[in-house]
Amino acid sequence: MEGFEVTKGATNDISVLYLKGYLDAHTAPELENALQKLMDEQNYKIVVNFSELNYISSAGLGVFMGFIEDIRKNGGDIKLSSMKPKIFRVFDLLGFPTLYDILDDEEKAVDKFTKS
Amino acid sequence: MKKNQKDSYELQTLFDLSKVLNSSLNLKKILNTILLTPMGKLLISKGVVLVEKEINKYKVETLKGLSKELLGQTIKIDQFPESPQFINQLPVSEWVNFFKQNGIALLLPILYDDKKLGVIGFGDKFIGSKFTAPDLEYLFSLSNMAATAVQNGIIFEQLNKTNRKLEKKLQEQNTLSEIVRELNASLSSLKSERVMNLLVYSIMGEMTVNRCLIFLCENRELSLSLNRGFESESLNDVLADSQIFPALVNLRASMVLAKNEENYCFQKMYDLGIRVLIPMKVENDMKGLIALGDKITKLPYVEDDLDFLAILGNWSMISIETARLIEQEIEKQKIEEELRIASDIQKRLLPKACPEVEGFEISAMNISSLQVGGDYFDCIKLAHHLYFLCIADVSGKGVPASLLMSNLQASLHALINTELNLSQVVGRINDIIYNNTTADKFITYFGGILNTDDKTFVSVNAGHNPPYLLHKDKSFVTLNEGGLILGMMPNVVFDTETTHLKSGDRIVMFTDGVSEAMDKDFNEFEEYRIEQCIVENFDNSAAGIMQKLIEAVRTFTKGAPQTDDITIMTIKVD
Repeated sequence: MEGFEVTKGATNDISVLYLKGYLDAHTAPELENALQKLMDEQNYKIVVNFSELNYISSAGLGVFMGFIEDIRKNGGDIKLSSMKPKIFRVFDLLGFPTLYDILDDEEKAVDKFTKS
Repeated sequence: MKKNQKDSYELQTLFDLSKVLNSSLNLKKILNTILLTPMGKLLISKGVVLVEKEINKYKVETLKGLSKELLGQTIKIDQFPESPQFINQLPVSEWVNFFKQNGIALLLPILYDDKKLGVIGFGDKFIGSKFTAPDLEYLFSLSNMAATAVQNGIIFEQLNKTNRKLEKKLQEQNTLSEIVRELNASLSSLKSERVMNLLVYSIMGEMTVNRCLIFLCENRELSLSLNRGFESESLNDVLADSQIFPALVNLRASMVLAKNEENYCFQKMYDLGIRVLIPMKVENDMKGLIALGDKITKLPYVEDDLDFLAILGNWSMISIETARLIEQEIEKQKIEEELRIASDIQKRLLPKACPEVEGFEISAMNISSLQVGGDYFDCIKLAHHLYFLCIADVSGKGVPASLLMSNLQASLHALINTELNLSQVVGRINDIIYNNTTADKFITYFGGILNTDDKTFVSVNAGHNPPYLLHKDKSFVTLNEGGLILGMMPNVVFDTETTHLKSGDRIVMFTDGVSEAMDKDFNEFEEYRIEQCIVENFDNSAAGIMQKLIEAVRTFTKGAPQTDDITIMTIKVD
């Protein structure tokens, strides 16, 4: 089975998580840890770049649900970017576009923070 | 000529329009074209399309030149315009006013085989001139043409919706199969904690919730196993209420909590923020419970959600149960492994072989019923002509007995080579055992020192099954002298018994695993069968007598499990 990788980057005060591979229940804890770490470091402005993610299951989406309230309470947000169509389809199906900003590319997602 | 040109131009635009309309399945695009084409051609600044939602009710689907706020509004049109209809020719009513107020002057029907699909409305021509008869004719043919396209568009939109529903179902299927895959793919590494996480993530993603409780239920006792997002103090307050758990345990099916629950418990749970309760069942037994807060999308929980959650919950529960069983099994295996090691250590405490003693044959054997046991025997060479031989049985079985047995073994080995005489050694050991154990733990012991030079055997019997001393003529006595069982009382004085061995004498020592061996009807082997057996097999070697005795016990207990350790030691004087 394909693995999963989270790597961290940053643009100014905005943290970017790059997801790669296969995000399901097995690999969800890795993403959870990465997000938890950002929370612990009080980095609440987060962009998640999905460009190299090939699969996401509902459990993968669940991870985002677990953090969003706390992050927004702290004046931050999670913005999602660069999804392949089939990844976006899953987000769309489960009604995520009304809850999260989903942008075409990372730059737009970062801009969204700096403009608001 | 000019008129002809204009006519052909009109025909051309209608033809173009029909091409556009029929090449698209996108309802939005179709409606846009229906409005924009005549607006451009006839210089109209306002246009609106309403599509039928229910009988006589029409929803504003597309508009031009009008306030966007009108989008999505539903208007009840009592009198459907079967042909082009000017608004100001209609009697005043609510719906007529709606169009009037928004500057719509003309209504056109979208009719498909007598089916009222919708209404097109236009404002007045911008330059102020009235709609002419050819204008109306043009617009009417346009609306007729639009009908097919709108019908297709509506069907396509419905198909899309159905498709989306199917895709949603598929996504749910994927989530379920992930749970099943988790169960099947990694049985050996399955952890209940992991399944629980998977369950929670899946629920949060699928339902867009971020508050979730998982309870586990064992013997109708609920316990909170996981809390995501609920404020723990108020949660604990509610859960501490003695009425809550009983109410939850009796929940038979999923339920959506309403704002004004009559039931006190459900009202409390609602106040806490809980919106649905889903029991997790295995073979119709409640094994757990899922409680969820509001969806972030603010959408209500529908029947489909509850079905999905119930299936997900039940599947997860099966996985969690399996994982628990596996965890227990692993724990059991660990203990068994430790016991196996303990058993190895204990076996090493017993002598591997009895010493070769000139003029004597000595044989001994221990068959443990559990992995570790409480029987003990030993043969220790003290000097070239002195051998210490003993047999003992620790009360109880298993690990506690084996611990005490190793204590005995260590004490014996430490004391037997000192200046103390046998009586003193046994006395000292009695005190050690007494000090190290509670009153219900004790040891029966028989042992003595064999002198191969003068063929004497000086023995002490501390409450042990009396060994047999058989003579050549097959008569026998038992060796009883000594004192109390070891570990019962401190400062016991032990007597010794000196036996002068003659050629052909045999000594047979055994533990109660022999005399109390039971057949399947719970009859004991008893001493008389031992006596019978050793007399019958008197002519055998020391090892032979021992083997015959074990065989006799085996034959007697056939079909019943061995419940106690069996230990035998035999001595034969050449």
